[in-house]
Amino acid sequence: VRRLLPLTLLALAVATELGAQTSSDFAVVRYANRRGLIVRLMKHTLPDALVGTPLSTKRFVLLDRDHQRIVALDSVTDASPSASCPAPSARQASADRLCIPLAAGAPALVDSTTYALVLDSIPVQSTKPQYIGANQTLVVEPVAGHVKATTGGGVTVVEVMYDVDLTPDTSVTMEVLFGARRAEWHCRPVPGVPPCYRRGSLSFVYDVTKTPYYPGDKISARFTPGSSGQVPPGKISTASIAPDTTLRDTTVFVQGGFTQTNSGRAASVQARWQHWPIPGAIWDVPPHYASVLSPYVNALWTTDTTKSGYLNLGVQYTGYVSDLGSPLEQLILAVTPRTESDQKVTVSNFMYLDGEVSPKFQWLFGSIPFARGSYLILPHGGIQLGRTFEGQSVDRPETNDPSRWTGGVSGKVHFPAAKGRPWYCSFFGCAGVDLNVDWQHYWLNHVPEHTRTTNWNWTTVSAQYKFTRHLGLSASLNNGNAPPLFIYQRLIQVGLAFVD
Amino acid sequence: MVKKKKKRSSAKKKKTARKSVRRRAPGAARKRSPSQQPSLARLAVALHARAVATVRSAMLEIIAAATRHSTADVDGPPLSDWICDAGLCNDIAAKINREWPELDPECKAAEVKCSQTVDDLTAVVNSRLA
Repeated sequence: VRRLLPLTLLALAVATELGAQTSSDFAVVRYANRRGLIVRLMKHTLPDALVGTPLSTKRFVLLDRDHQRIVALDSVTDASPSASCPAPSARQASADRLCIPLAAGAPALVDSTTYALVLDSIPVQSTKPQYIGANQTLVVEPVAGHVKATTGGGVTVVEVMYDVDLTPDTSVTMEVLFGARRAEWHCRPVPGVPPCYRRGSLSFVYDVTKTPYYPGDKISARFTPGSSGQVPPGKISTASIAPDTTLRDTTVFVQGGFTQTNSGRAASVQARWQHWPIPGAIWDVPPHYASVLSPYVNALWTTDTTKSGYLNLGVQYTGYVSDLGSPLEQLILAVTPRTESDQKVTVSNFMYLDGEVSPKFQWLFGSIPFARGSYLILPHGGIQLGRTFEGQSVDRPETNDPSRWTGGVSGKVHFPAAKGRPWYCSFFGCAGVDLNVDWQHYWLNHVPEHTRTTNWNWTTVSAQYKFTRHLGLSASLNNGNAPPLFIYQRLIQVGLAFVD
Repeated sequence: MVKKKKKRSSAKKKKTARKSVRRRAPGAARKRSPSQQPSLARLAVALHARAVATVRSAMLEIIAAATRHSTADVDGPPLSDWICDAGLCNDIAAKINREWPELDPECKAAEVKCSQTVDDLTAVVNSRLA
């Protein structure tokens, strides 16, 4: 110990200090009996071969910073689930934590004392990195609480983590507050732990989806007064929510370019905004069904004086029936009540029912054997019913109040950014390449007498080089006869695409 | 004849010297002497732990199945390296909830994001296991 102390102090001076509670890789929780530390590996797990195996702690050092002395540790970690080292589940081994007990003669940890834990390299189950923790020092702050909120179309889960394991104190309960409002929470009762306490995270985990969250609300928590005489000291910090910037699959698509039709050429800007889940408008029926409501905006601005551009608005309800097994993996349903106009707005329909079903079959998606590519082929079919509210007297291959069957196939190929960042990535940025093809066929149910055919096609081919995850250079070709006029047109557009 | 015999014995010795010694896994504790061997209960727990797949390895299988890439491919990069749309996020959430029915609260599709990796999703599951 005497030989180690100067080395340790030197290491402490040199090593980068990581606040244990703020580091994203580790979290340190004291044993309930204060006879050890549980180091949670927040983003990694131990290699399968080492799960359940005691690891040597001979190169770990625990320093009492307030009293400048080393606290002796046991020579190996506590690998078996026990009262002092609770396992996440009886079914799963604790691969996400190291339980480091104090040596038999060492004094118990004090809640108000700051400690520093010097780590040695810890092997983890991933190819990169293979080890974490080398030369890192975790500051074990005095015991306090920390509130963390998970978002996904609103605040869904609030987690309150205390720097001490509260598993044995089954009478402890907490309140969660959104601003000054008490949040309604629920959780499945688990015997032997306080309400909503999880051995997996060593924290309280509250499902708060039923309570609306208003932007700007501070999320806080406090122990319910009188819930327990064992409540540890220390303040519980609050959490504020940043705007949700990680919405999935949202299409904010702005594309400007050159348009060539039968009648002429013009510059145009097209914007589409789709798949943005409206916060709170998410309905799940576990385990297989989930659905969201999102706005639908499709706008065109053009320099062509013979056209006026359009603004089509609507809402889109999308439902996903997932994990169905083989061969039908998933079924996607979309209902999009919306307006539909041509580029001159000579005819406008309100499509009160635009329903489509897309089955995702197991053999129609997968990997491409080069450049880590992926492909997805989605057949789709549906029905469109509407009311014509503009241009009822305009002659076209479809009668007023459209009724159509639709069917087609869409294909997508995606290549992620090249590994090893080639030279051009430093100039342009590299975030992958997308290729899309969509073919849509329309069968019109009601056509004027003079019309020869009831079948029309509309094809879109597009390619996108992504500079970043959200910004890309896009080129697209639209060809065919699109509703509501079904006049032949070919559109070539090049522009920037913003996609989240 | 004597010389030949000598040669043979030296060759034998060399062979014995080359015999590889099984190395300890990095970070693993030194092997205990028989008197220090862990109790039967500890061994049983360790064996049970190995028989049951860890959360991370099960998560790798889930993402590999959802993207139809190999587990080696999906180990590391974010979901956005594959065709990541709302369909994939929903599929992964449904598969997670089927694999761990005891998850509380259950994983919602909106919580699965294209920026997440296997390790991020493993952390989500670990934190919600009772």
